[in-house]
Amino acid sequence: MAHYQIIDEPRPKPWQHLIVNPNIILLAAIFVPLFWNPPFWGRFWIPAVWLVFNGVTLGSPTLHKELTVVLVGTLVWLGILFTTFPVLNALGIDVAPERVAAYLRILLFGVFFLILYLAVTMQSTAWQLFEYVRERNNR
Amino acid sequence: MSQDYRTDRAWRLLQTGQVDAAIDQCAELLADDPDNAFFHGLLAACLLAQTRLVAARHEVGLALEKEPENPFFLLILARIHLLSGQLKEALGLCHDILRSDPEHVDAHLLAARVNGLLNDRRKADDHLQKAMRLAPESLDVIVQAGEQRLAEGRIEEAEEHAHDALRIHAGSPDANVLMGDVQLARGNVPEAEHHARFAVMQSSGSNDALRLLCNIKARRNWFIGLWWRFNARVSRLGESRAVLVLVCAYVGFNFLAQILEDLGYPTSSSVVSYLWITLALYSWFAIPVYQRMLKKELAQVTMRRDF
Repeated sequence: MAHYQIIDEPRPKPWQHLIVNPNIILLAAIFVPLFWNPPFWGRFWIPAVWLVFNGVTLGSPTLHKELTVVLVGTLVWLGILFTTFPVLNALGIDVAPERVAAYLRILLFGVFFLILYLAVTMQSTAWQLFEYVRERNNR
Repeated sequence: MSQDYRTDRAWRLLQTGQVDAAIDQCAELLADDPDNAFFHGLLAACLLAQTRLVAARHEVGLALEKEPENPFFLLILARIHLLSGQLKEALGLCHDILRSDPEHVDAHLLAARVNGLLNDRRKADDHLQKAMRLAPESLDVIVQAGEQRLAEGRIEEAEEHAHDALRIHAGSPDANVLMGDVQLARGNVPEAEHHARFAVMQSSGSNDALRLLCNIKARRNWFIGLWWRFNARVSRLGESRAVLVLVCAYVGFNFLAQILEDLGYPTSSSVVSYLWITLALYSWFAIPVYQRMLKKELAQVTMRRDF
C-alpha cells in the first residue's frame, strides 16, 4: 500500500543501526573525558562530529539548523579561545595568564555545552519521531 | 472499507485520544487521495494534538491552499500559532473567522483564550460571554469558562462550572480535568487524583489529564515536586532560552567557585562546587524517578472497554 510521508518524520538511511539517542552523545561528552581524554582536543570536536553524523543518518528535518548551531558555535568558541589574551593585552589588563586560563576554561566549557545542548535538543525531536515511527512499523 | 467510514473512524480516534491510530488512518486516507483538503486538515488536527507543530503547519497549509477560507482549517492554524506563542497571529485568524461567521463558538473560545494570555481580561470575558450566549449548554464553553475563572483565582465559580460540565457529560475528560484542577487548588489531592485518573481512563492521550496527574504527583512528593516546578518554569521560557539559562547557571556556579578560590576561601569554593554537583545529579535523577512514578500510575489505570 502507498504510504503518505508526513513532513517531520525522519527518513532514515540504510545504516540506521548506527543511530543513537542524541542524549547519549551529550552524556558521552560529559562523562567520557572524566576517564579518558581523547587526543587532539577530541573531547570538543568528537561529540560535534558524532552529532552531525547522527543527524545525517537520522534524516533529521532540523539538520540545517543543527549544522548552523554547530558551525556558528565552533566559530564563537574559537573566537573566545584565540582573542581573549590579545584583547586583555590590548586593553592593558595585567593579570597572570594562569588565573585568566581558569576562567577561560569555564567559559569555553560553557559555550561548548551550550552548542551541544542546543543541537541535541533540536535533534531529540527527530529522534523521538524516529523511535515512534519505528515502534509503529513494528506493531 | 469506504472512505467515509475511514474518515469517521479517524475523527473518532482523535476525539477519544487515540492520536497515533488517527494519524495512521489519515495517512492511509491521504495515500489514496492526496489532494483532499479535509484529510490534510484532519491530519493537521491530529498532529496538533501531538504538538508536532511543524508538520501540523505544513498539513494545514496544504489544506488552506485548496480552501483558503475554511473556518475549520483557519481555526487549526490559529491553534498552531497559539502553541507557537504567536498570539497576535492567532487572534488575527480568530477575527478573520468571526468576520465571516460572527456566531462561530470555537473562534470566540479561542479568542477568549488568546486575549486572556495577552492580559486583556475585558476582551477575553467579552468573547467568553458571547460563546456562553451562543452555546450555553456546550461542554467546551463551560469548561473554558471554568478554566478562566480558576486562572483568575475564582475557585468557587470555577467549581460551579466544573459541576455543570460534569452534569452535562460525566465521562468527559475535560470536565474531569477541570474538576481535578479545582480540587487540587482547594488542596483536596485524593479527589483531584480520582478525577485525573478517570480523565486518563477516558482519553489516554489527553495532555491536560497527564499534566494534572503530574501536578498531583508533584504535590505528593517533595523531591519530584521541586524538579517538576523548576522544570515547568524553565520550559515556559522555550527550549533555546531554557538551555541558555542552564548553561549560564553552570558558568555562574563555576565562576563563583573560582572567584572564592582566588580570594582565598577554598572551603566556600568547595561548598559551591558540591552544591553544583548536587544540583546536576538531582536534575539527572529526578527525571527517571518521575517517569517511573508516572508510568506506574498510568499502568494502574484501566482503559474503558471500547478503547
